[in-house]
This record gives sequence, C-alpha cells and structure tokens, in this order.
Amino acid sequence: MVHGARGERLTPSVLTARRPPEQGLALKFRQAGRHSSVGLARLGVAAVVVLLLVVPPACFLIQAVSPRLFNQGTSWLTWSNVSTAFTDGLGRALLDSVAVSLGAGLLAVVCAAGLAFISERTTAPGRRLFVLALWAVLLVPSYLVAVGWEEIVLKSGLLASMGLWNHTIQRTVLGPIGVAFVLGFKGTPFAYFALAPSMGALGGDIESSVRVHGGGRIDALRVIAPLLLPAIMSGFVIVFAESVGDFGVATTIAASAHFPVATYTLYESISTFPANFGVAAVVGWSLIGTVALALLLQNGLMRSRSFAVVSGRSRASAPKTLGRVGDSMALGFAVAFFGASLGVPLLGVVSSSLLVPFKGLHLSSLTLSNYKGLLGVSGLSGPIRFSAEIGLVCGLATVTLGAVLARTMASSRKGIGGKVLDMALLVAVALPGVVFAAGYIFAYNLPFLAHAGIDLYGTVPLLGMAYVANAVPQSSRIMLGPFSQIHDSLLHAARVHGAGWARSWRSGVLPLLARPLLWAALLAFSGLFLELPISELLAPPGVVPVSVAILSVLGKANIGQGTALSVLAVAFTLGVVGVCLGLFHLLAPPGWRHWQRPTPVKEPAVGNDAQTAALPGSASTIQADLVGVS
Amino acid sequence: MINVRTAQATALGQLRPENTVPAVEVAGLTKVFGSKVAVDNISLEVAPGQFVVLLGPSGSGKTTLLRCIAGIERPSAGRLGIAGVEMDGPGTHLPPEKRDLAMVFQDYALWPHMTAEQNVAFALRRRRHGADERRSRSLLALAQVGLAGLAGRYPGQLSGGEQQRVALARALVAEPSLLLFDEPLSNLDADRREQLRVDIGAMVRRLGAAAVYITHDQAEAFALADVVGVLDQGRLVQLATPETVYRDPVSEFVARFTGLAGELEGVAGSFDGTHLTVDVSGHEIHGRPMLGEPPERGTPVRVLIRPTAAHFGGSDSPQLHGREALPGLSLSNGSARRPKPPSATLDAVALDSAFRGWGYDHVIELAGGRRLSGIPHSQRLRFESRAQIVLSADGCLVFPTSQPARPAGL
Repeated sequence: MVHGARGERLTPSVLTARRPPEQGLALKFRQAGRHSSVGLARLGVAAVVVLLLVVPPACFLIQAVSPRLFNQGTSWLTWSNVSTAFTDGLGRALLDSVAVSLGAGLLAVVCAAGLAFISERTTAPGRRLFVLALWAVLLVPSYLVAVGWEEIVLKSGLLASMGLWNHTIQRTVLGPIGVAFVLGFKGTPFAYFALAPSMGALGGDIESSVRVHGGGRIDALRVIAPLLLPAIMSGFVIVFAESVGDFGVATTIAASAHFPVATYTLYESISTFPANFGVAAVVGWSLIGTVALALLLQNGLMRSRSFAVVSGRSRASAPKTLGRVGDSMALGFAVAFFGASLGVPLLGVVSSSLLVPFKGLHLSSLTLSNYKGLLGVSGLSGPIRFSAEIGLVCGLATVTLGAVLARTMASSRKGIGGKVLDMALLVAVALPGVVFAAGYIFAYNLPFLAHAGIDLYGTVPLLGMAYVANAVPQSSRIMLGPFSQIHDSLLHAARVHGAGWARSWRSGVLPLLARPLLWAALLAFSGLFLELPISELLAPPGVVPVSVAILSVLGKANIGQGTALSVLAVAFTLGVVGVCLGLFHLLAPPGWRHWQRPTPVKEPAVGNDAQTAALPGSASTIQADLVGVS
Repeated sequence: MINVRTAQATALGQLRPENTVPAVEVAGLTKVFGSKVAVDNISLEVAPGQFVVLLGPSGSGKTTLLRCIAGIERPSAGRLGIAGVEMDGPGTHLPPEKRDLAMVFQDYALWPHMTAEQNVAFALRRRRHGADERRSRSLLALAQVGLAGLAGRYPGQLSGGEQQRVALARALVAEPSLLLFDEPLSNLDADRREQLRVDIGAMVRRLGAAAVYITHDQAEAFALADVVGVLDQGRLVQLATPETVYRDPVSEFVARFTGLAGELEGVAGSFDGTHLTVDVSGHEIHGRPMLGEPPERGTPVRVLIRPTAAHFGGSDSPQLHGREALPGLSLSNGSARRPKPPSATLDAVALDSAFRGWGYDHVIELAGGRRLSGIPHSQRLRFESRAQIVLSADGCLVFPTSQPARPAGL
C-alpha cells in the first residue's frame, strides 16, 4: 500500500484499475505454470542421472543380499553371499586394499605437501612447471605406471640390461610396497591440488601475528600446520578413495605378485564362469563402505573445529628465497618425485619397447622392430583408432552432460534437488570404475530388458554409456567450480542489453568457461582413451580398446609390442592434448585467454579482487571441486 | 484533509500530463519465493524522465522489484508495463531483451573477456547499427564517462570505479528510455561514490530517460531522486519527494531509516494546531504529530528526533562550564547550520565527538540515559562535559507509541 505525505492511502495508477492482484490458489497455479519448463528440464536431468548413474550400480549392488530380485537366486534376503565372499578371501583382499591405500595416501600427502610448499611458499627454480607435470602424472593411467616399473625391475628389464638387476629390488617393487608407491605417486596430483591453495593462502597475517606477539619460526609453524589439516585430510581421503577403487595397479603389479586386492577380487568374481554377481556385489559394497568410512572419519575430525582462516581479506605470505642449497634441495625433491612417478615408468616402457630383451644396454640392442611389428600385426593399430573415436564421442558427451549437471548444481545448490544431485555425483565419484562396469554388465543383461526390445548388452553403445556414466561425475565436479563462479549478473546483463538466451550464453558466459571446458574435455578424452576396468569388462566381442590391447599383448608375454603400444597410446594422448591446447592458444580470441590475468592497477579494485581470487578453470579451482569430498 | 490526487501530485513533484504514457507502471506486483513474499502487492508509476529511487534495508524487496522491472524475475502476480506496453501480466512475460531498457549492476557485470569498448558496444547490437557506428558511439560513451583512453582495456585491468563507469557507459550508449540501477555505488570507496553519483545524476538527466535506482543509503537516495519510494518487508510504504519523506515520514520505520539523532519516550500534552507538547521525564518538549490526528492528551508517545532538530543551546558556542572547550580547535561555519528557534532546552553530557572537517559531531546523553547522536558543533567538547541541547519542534516527529522502543544507545 502506498501512502502520501500524511499517511493517507494513495492509489497511483492506471494499471491497478484493470485487474486486482491475484491471490491464493490462482496465484499458486500461475506460479506452477511458470516454473513448469524449468521443472521439466530438471526432471530430464534427474532422469538421465538416475538411468546412467544410479540404476545400474544399484541393480548390481542389491544382488549382495537379494539375488531373487532379478532372478539370480532363490532367496529374497540372504547373507550367504557375504559369507561366501569372506570365505573366498575378501577379508584378506580388503585388508590388503586398505593397507596399501593408507600407505598411498600418506605418501601422496607427504609428496604433495613438499611440492606445494616449494611451489607456493618459495622462489625455487622450476616451481611453475609443477602443475603441468602433475597434469601429466594425472593423465597417465596407473596400469601404465605399474607396467613401466615392472619393465624396470623385471629380469628382462632395464636394470638387467644395465647389469643392476637385483632380486630384492624386484620383490620390493612387485609387491605391496610397490603397489602402495605407484598408487601414492598417482594420487599425489589430487593431494597437491587440495593442499596448494591452502598452503599459498595461509601464512601471511597469521604468521605475522605469531611473530609480532613474540613467537619464533617454530611457533609460527606450530600455529599454521594444524590449520592445514582440512586440506591434508581432503588430500588424504581422495587418494585413499582413488587407491581403494584402483583397478590398473590391481591387475598388473598386484596380480603378478599374487597380492590380492579387493577390486581384482571383484573382477575375478565376474570374469570367471559362471559369474558370481552376488559375491561381486558384496565386494562392491565393501569397497564403497571403506571409502564411506574414510569420509565419515574425515567429517568427524573436521566437525568439531572451525578451520576457516582463508577469507577474501587474507594476505598470503611472501615467497621465501631459499638460497643455493635450499634451491638445490627443492629441485632435488621435485626431480626425485617426478622421476619416480613419471620419468622412471616412462623410461621403463620406452626402453622395453626399444630394447631387445636379455641383450644388455648397447646401441646394437636398440630396435624398432616392436613398432614395426605393431603396425604389421593385424588388429593392433585398430585399438588406437577405436579408442580415439569412442573417446572423442564419449568425451564430448561427458563434457556436455557434465556441464549441464554442473550448471544445475551451481544454480540449485541450496535446494533439496541440488543437494541430492550433489550427493549423488559425489558418491559416484567415489564409486570404483570396476563397480560401475559390473553394474552395467548386470543391469543391461537382465532378461526383461531384452523382452522389452532393449538389447544393449555386448554392444558399443553400452560401452559408451558406461564410459560416460563413469566419467561424468568427475567431469561435472571439475566444472562445478567454474560454473559456480560465473555470476548470474553476467547473463542478466546480456539479457537486459538485448541478447536472447542463447546469445547471452554464447557471448557472455561460454567464453569465460572455454578454458575449463577444454580442460574437462581433454581430461575426459584422455581418461576414456586409456580407460581399463570398463573396457576390460564391457568391450563387445571383436572390439578391443587400447587398454585391453596393451594388457592382452603383455599377457601373452609379448612385452616389447605391449610396451610399444603403450608408448604410442600415451604419445597419442599427449599429442591430442598438446594440439588442442596449442589450437586454443592460437585461435581463441585474446579475451578468452587473457581475461584471467589482470594487470596490476595502482588502486585496489573490488571487481578485480573478486575475479582474481577465484579464477574459473584454474587448476586449484578445478581440483578444489574435484576433491569435493572435503 | 489533503486531497489524495493533489497529495500524490505534490509528492511526485511533477504530475504526469494526462496524455503521456508513464515510463513504468507497476500495479499490484507480487513476487513470492517459496513461502517468502519478497515483493508484496506494490503499485507505483514512473513518469518519463523521472528519477525514482527505491530506498530500503536489506531484504526489503527493492532488488527483487527492480529485477521484476528488468524482466530477470517473473512476478508471481500483478501487472507491469513499460512505456505503455504490458510486460508482465496474466499469461504475459516479456524477456529482458525485449524491454528496451538498460541496467547498471551492483557488481558491474562486465564481461571479463571483452574490452571496455566491446562491453559498451554489446548494448548497441539491438539498435542494428553498423560496426563503425557501434565503435564510434562506444568510444564516445566511454569518453563521456571519462574513460576515453581505456577503451582497449579488459575489465580486469581497470579499477573498481573505472569498471563501474564502463557499466554506466554500456547502459547509456543505446539511449534507452528506461535505466535501472542496482546499488551501483555500493562497491566503491566514498570518494569515488560521490563522483560517480554526480555523474549518474547528470548523465541520466541529460539523456532524459526515466530511471529507477535502488539503494540502502538515504543520503544517496535524497541526493539523486525526484521521487523516493521507501520499501519495508516487500511493501512500498511511502512514495514521495525526498523533502516530504524527510519532513513527513509515514511511519517510525521510514523516519528511522531516513536518519535520526535519537528517540525519546513521553506523554502527549496540549496541541496548538501545529505542535504538540510532550512531557519527557518532567521536561516539556515540542514536536509535530505524525499520522494525521494528534494523539490524545495523556497517551504515551515516542518522539523521533532528526539530526537537524538538535543543536547545542544558546548560540554557536555551547553553554560550556569552565574550561571544557579545547583551545585552538574553533571552526567558523557553525552559523550555516544554525537550526530554527528552539522549542525546548535539555541538560546533557557529552560522550563522544567526531571530527567531520566542517566541525564536530557529538554524541550526548540526556537525563535518563537516552542518547542523541550527530549533534554538530564547531568545537570539540571534552568527554563528560556538560552542555545544553535545544530541540527544534519542526524536527521532532511525534508518533503514538505502538512498538517497543529501541534500546538506548547509538
């Protein structure tokens, strides 16, 4: 109600007379109509998530206790699968998985803390290359790192060629310690991306406040270290979860060392005839339960205390100059880590593909016969083409769906729907690929689907669906940060200045997301191109993805050709990544590339601060969301 | 009794000629988010060329109302027209791009991947100008806001004030008939805020466009507005000229939100046709009764005191006792702020003084512990020095007591 100068009621206007404002039910109906299109879109998103991500694993996992539900047994509710699984060694496998994953988590956190300290708090040379190198570690699949180490320490490997072979070294690497180390190296990028932002932001004023109140360097360290606990826990838990669900090392080093881990137990339950989905489901539950326990433990540790010390006003401490000795030590640490995680395995794979076995390390023992043979062997050049094609198609589908999910979550995070979606994707990130694969095998092999005319089992589309389903949770979480940081006012500004919905997105927002979208696409492509567990379990007869081909050739003891194929596959992946990034650098308009790098201005600018504080697509932002388990 | 139409005409300053179409018409507009009514049955009209400022605290619904006018939010009920065309109504909702308006956002909303010139030129695309003309107009608009040399810079390379100037140029360049401002100065420091406020007022009036501007800062609102609309909990509680809102607020909320020195509780006494006598703890003060009829004698009332109504007693110099005035700090512009003849004089104790450049603002405490703030004087009073406060009747607004009083203090 409008009032005039003395409180009298005014009725300004022309439009008021036309129609009284709606009330009650009419108002609710109109609101419902307006929101129907948004509601339909959200319903569609929910349906895709349920069909792709929820139904297959759920159908599979329910077999653990209710085999009759899908005609896999006679009991509606039974614990026999649980007892069978533990009789068959699940307990031992699970303990092994937990033990090596704990070791991997610790190793990753230590390595990541060292690297993050060097890159964020010092001026050591080469620190700016860390992120690039860590991306490379992330892109190379764990089974190739494992194969690389195998090729170093085996009797036919590089150490033997150099005359340095030692049985103890072989037994150490090809055993629990080796498994833990490889998983730790592979997990270090996750821990780094969780730790580095906090490591960079902490210090500054907090350190100064300790010093001005009489504390020394040790006291400052004592104050700061506990504040890093959330980041350390996040890093540890994500590495632990990744390690528990890893299949690449399980199927290589662990399998050949007869060191049973849970993921390989699950694989054996399904791949042997007759497949025992009930026992496999019990293993699946135990994997999920292990990860859930770690998450709960982390939440319990974090809940009782507030660690929120990084705010928009926080001032990062100035990087320290280490001096010649310090720089050398920092460089040595980085070289040792990247050497062990990337250099040595790549050297092992490359040397294995180029050397004639048991001939020593001479120029005469170098040969390209493996590569020549690879081209000549029928069917071995096909896997690269097939994986490239399906990687491209599924990679684009993954990024598209991931972007839709990220936008949905970013715009409805406070609502119940948004929270449910967030939680579903978080759980799916933690779900091991081998569980996904088993779920797809089981769900799409159910007789009633065939009766309904849906006959996807044993087809490439089903393989593609499983690829997308497995990659989408991670992809959407990668993009969640950038999408969350795009303020709606950018879209609104475009709309009020005359642009339609599509142009507002195209001109006003997508250029800002170009870099994170590109990275997400490249990550999805690389992951899918070299993906192992789903390929191993779901590839139709006659179709051989690269990863399956590599392990198949290695399994036939054709080590040279297997490693040659690995080298070509990794080179192809890195080539695609390099070419795409190069093209982006060359072809993208300057604003797309440079808007994230404001030049310093003389005066503080609120807008600048807001932008530089959170750069969509920056590594830290991406990984902060990737490690959303925190 | 004032005639309603006359009151409105007086309040709005400029009565719209009968045959002109209002720039904005809002009738019974309501916006509901879940169970929360953000905008509650608001009706208002903006004449062409009129500058309307919507003033209200956080959560009062002003931003939602502005976003409804922009088309960013869709009203739950009611009608909204721009330049005579219905934008929102039963079964009707025109998207923002079809409304031919421009908007300046609180966070600037500049596209960081576009240069300043590209940001400004974006708003010209709907005008179907050629590329050359778009460029020349954009450069001209940037020059008008003082950024002629920064057209090639990206937003990230500009300061906050410069970014908001780019946003202003983007809004003005297409010469829309309606401009919307969403707290455009709130992210700027005080100095730049004042500069940009002056520029916004001048440029909008030069363009002749109607403007709807929202803010929570009453000084900003009074400085810019032809008409001020005060919002409270989703309702438009007063729509009038700045002078009227300040002099004759329709509620205690409006009075408080537009600036008070303090509040006193008392009992209504005699009414002489203009002023009401109020007994405050045995002291008689005078004020103007608000909300129509004066309260009956003996009823409890609350006196809301405008800062302009209170000054130190006697002359420019307070009635100081002994040596409380600090030597060497005398300033000479006190006479310009001399209030009207006092209606009552009360004993007070100085609690605080703040140097304001022109002199000092003081906080004083009256008998009974009530405090008044923002009392000007050319000299600084020492802590706990005694003084006399004169309250002018015109700035003492008397409301019947309907709500609990605010706690004493600042």
